[in-house]
Amino acid sequence: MSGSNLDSVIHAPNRLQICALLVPLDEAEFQVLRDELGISDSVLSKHLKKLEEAGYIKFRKGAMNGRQRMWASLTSPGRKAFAKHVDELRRVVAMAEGE
Amino acid sequence: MADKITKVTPEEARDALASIRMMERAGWRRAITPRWVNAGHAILAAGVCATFALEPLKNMYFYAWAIVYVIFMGYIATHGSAFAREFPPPHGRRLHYFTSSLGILGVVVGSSMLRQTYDAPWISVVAGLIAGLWLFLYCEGERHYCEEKAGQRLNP
Repeated sequence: MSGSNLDSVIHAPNRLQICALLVPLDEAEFQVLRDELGISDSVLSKHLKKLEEAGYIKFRKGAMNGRQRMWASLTSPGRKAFAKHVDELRRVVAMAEGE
Repeated sequence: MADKITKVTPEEARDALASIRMMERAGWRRAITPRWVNAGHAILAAGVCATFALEPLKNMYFYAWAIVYVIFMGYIATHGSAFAREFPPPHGRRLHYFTSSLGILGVVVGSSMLRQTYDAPWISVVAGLIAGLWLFLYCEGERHYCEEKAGQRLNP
């Protein structure tokens, strides 16, 4: 087993998927995240809050069609942390294949 | 700084990478703009550019095209771009957007000057067609980029 540089905040499966979904995008609306991940609003909110506390994502709120909406985007530290996490995962796989 | 994990198996790492690939592709799929949006941009931009080159700020056709374009952009903004749940903006493409906008601006300004110098209305029509085509090709290029990233194009 290995992986000394893996980020525990990002490594949780749902949070990993949230970060991966946000990488190609400037931002994504809450319902987009919920629909793509297939999880409930409360579970998504919990994970988003954890990522926000780590400084990896930020939110923007606004109104659309009379309803309040929220958009999430990766911060610069969040993108770097995610890229580093992915590199470390690849390193773990490469080491195992090298053996 | 988040805590570090000290142990992960290669199988867990592979599963995590597969999950990442899947979600990144989903993100790129979300960023693909519908073709009707690209066509709408091209047609309206062509109209605005042609009427602007024809008689800048002095004819009602320019204002009519411009107003329709503004309405169209407003509609797109509430269904796409930053307000989207349907097609959010892709990350890291602002430079392409900026350079393409500069190109179109160059076409419009240049054709307007040519039109006034040579007093030839056909120049404005050509300018509109060039601007519309340029914008359509740019939008389609962005669409293809997102499709490739989403793994939807078999022959990139």
